[in-house]
Amino acid sequence: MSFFQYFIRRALLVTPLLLGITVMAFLIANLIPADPTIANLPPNALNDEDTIAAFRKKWGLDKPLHQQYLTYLGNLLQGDLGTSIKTRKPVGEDISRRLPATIELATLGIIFGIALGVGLGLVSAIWKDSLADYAARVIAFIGISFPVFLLALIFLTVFYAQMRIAAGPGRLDIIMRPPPTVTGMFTIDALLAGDLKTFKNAFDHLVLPASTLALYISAIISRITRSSLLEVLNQDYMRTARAKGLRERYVIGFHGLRNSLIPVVTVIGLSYGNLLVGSILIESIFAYPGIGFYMFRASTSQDFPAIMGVSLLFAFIYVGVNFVVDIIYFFLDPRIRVA
Amino acid sequence: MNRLKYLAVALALLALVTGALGVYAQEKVLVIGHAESTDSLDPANGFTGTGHMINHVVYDQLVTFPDEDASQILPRLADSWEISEDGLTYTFSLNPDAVFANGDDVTADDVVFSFNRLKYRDGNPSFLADPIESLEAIDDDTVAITVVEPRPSFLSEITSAVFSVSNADVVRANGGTDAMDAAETDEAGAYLDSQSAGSGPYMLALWEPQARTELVRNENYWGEQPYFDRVIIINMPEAATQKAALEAGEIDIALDLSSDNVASLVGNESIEIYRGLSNWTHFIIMNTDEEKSGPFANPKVQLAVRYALDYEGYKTLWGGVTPGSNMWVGLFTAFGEDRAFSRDLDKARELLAEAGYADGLDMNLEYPDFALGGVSFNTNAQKIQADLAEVGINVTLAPGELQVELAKYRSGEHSVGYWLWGPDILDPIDFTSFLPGGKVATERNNWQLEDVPEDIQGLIARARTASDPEERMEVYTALQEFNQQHGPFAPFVVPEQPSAYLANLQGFIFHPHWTLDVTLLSRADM
Repeated sequence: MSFFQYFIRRALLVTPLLLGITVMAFLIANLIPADPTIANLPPNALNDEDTIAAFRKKWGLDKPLHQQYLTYLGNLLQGDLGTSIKTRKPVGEDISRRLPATIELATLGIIFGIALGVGLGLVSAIWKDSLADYAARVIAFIGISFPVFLLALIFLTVFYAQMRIAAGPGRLDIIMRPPPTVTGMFTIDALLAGDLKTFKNAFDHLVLPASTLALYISAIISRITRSSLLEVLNQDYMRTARAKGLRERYVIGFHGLRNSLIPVVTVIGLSYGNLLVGSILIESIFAYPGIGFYMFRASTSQDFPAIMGVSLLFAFIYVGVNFVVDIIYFFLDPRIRVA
Repeated sequence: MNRLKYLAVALALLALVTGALGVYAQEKVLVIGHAESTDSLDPANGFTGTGHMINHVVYDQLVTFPDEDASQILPRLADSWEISEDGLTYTFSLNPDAVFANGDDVTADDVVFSFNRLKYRDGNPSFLADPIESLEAIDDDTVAITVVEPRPSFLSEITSAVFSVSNADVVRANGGTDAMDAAETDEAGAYLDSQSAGSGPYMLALWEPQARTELVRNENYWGEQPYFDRVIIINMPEAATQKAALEAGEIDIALDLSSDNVASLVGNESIEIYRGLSNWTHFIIMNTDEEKSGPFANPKVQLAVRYALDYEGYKTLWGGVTPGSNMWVGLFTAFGEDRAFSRDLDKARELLAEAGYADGLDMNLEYPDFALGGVSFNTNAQKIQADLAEVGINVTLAPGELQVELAKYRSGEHSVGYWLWGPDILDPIDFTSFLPGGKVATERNNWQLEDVPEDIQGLIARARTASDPEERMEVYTALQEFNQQHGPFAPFVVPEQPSAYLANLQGFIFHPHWTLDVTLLSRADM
C-alpha cells in the first residue's frame, strides 16, 4: 500500500466519525433533563412568562429537536458555531480567543508528560525490579490514581501559596500586561516582541498546570514504555546486537527504543483525550482562561452552543491527533507498508 | 546514555521554577479574586452578582442603601423625592452637580432613557421595570415615575444597579435606543460591555469575560474620590484558588471563600477574615397537598418538624444565624435569632402523637445534590435525617441533579423538599412569597389563600400595599408569627459567607445586594 492510499483511507474514516460526533454531542446536550432557562435566567426572572418565552425564542429552544439539529448543522457547514448563551458572543470567536492559551498549556503538558513518562519507563525497564524501578512506578501510580483536581490543588497550595517557588493562577502575574497579540500564545508572542521578562512570566505560569497535566498523562505512558521495552529487550536481535559488541546505550537507543515505540505512540495519541479532559478541571483550578475553563463554565450553565462547539473542537483535535498517530505508524512500522 | 542525559536536563529545567516577579506600577491598585458571574456589563441587560458589584460603582442610581444593609433608603443621584398621595407617582429631584464621566450633565432625560431602555430591552432584568407605567422628565433636574399600582418596595428596587442611569447621548451614539422595539433594535450591548457610560466613581476600562475586569478612577467624579486608582477583578472560580492566591499575597481580597477553607486561614497574621451573613435561608418545605406529602400536609406535623431540628448544630457546621422565619434576617421587620425556634424534642413528640403518629412516620426528603458557598445540601440533609430520627420520623434521602430537582420543586411536585431562598427584593415584601398567594407558598407548595383564616388573608393583602413603617412592622410581625405556628416551612440556618483579605486593607464591608463597595476600601501605610 502506498502512503497516498493509506492517507486517503484514513482520511475517509474521519468524516463520518465527526458527523457522528455532532449527533452524539447534540443528543447528549439536549436529552439531559436540565433546562437552560433555569440555568441562565436569574430565579426571579423565571416567574415572568414573557422573559422565559423571549429567552426560548431567542435561543431556538421553542423548535422541535430535529429542526434544532438541522439548523445547527446547516450553520456549522457555513462555519457558524452559534452564539454562546453565557458570554453572548459567537462561539467560534470565544473558542479562537481561548484556544491559543490551551494549545500553549497542552503542548508544554504533553512535552513534560512524554519526557517524564518515557523517562520513568526507561528507568523502570533498564533497572527492572531495582529501587529506581519501584520509585518510578510509585510516581506513575500517584499520577494515575490521584484525581487530577486534587493534584492541581496540592501543587498550587504547596509550590505557590506555601513555598512561593512557583507562579500561581492565570496566564501572567496580575499586574503584567499581555504581549501584543500575534498567535495568542503569550510565550511565543512575548518572544516575537523580544520581551523576555513577559516570556519568563508566561512560562512560569505554565509550569504548575503543565506539570499537573504531565503527571496525569505520564503515568500511562511510563507503564506502556516499561512493558513494551521489557518485551523488546528480550528479543533475539537485542542479544545479537550485544553479542556483536555494541555498547549498551546503542543497543537500547537504536534497537530497543525504536522498536518499543509503536505502543507508546499509540498511548500518547490516546493520552491527548485525557489531556483535554484534564484541562477542564486544571484550567478551572488554575484560573487559566483557556478552552477547558470555558467548557467548565458552559457545562455548569447548560450553554448548549458553547458545549457543542467545544465538544466538536475536542473531537476534532482528538481525531486529528490520532490521525497523525496513524500516519506515524506508517513510518515506524514497516509491516504497514506491505500489508 | 545520551537520551538519559537529555532527559535529566529536561527534568532539571522543569524543576528550575522561580517565583514570578510582579511589576508594580506607581498607581494604587486593588486586586480582587472572585468567582465571576457576569453575563453582561450593560446595566439594562446583565443581571448577576458580579454585574451588580461593578455597576454599583461605575454608574449611579437614583437612591441607594446604607453601606452595610438594606435598612433605609438614602439619596444618590436624587437629592430628594416625593411620593404622591395615591402611592403611584414618585417625583425625584436630581443633584444638579451630578455629571457623567465625560463631563455631560446628568439630566432627567437620561433617567427616562435608561429606565425605558431597561424596560424595552427584553434583557434578563427587564421584568424589574414592569411595575413602571410611565416616566416623565419635568425639567432638567426633575423626573416623575408613575407605577402601575402602589408598590411599597419601589424605592428598594430601584437601588439596584439594573436601574443605573447611563448617559443617553453616549449610549444612543453607540447604537442604543429606548424605543419600544429596543429588544430588536438596541445595539449598544457590545459597547457597554467594553466601556461604561455612567457617572459613578469608577469607569470600566476592560472586561475580558471569565478572565478579568478592570476599573479605573473617574477623574470627573462629582462626589468624593475613592482611594484606589485601579481595581482589578480576577476570575477565580475555585475558592481554594482564591485562598492560595491570597496567601501568596497576589490578590488583596478572596471574595468567595467557604467556611471550610477559611478555617485554615485563622491565625495567619497577614490575613483578616470577614464573616458576613449570606443571603441564603435554608429551609424544609412540606407540600400542603396531602396527595403529595401525606402526613406532612398536617400543620401539627409541620410544627413538630420545626421543634425537632437541632438549630445550634447547623450553626456549628456553617456559622451564621438561626432565622426566625423565611424572611431573610437582614431585612426590616424580620424575625432574628431572638424569635427563632429552639429544639424541644418532647414538644415535637407530643405534637406527633396528637396528630396520630405516636409510632413514627416516614418522610421522603427531596433536594438537589449541590453545594452553594461551600454549604453542602447532602451534609444538611443527613443532619435533618438524624435530627428527625430522634422524634420517630424516618427520613429517606432523595437527592437529585440540581436542574431536575428544581423543575420538580418549581411545579410543586415534591413531597417534602429542602431548598434555599435568597431575597429577590431587599424589602420585607419579599416575604409574601412564603405566604398563601405567593410564589413559593402557592406555586411551589400548593398552599392556597382559602386555606388560611380571613383575618390572615386581610393581613396578606395589607402586606402587599402598606408603606408606613409602623404598619409594616405590625403586619409583618403578625404574618411571621402565623407562619411560625401554621406554615409548611421549617427555616433552619442562614449560613455565613466568609471572605478574607490582606490585613493592610481597610473598609471591607459585605453588602447583601452589591456584595462589596470598592470605593470604601483603602490601604493602610505599611
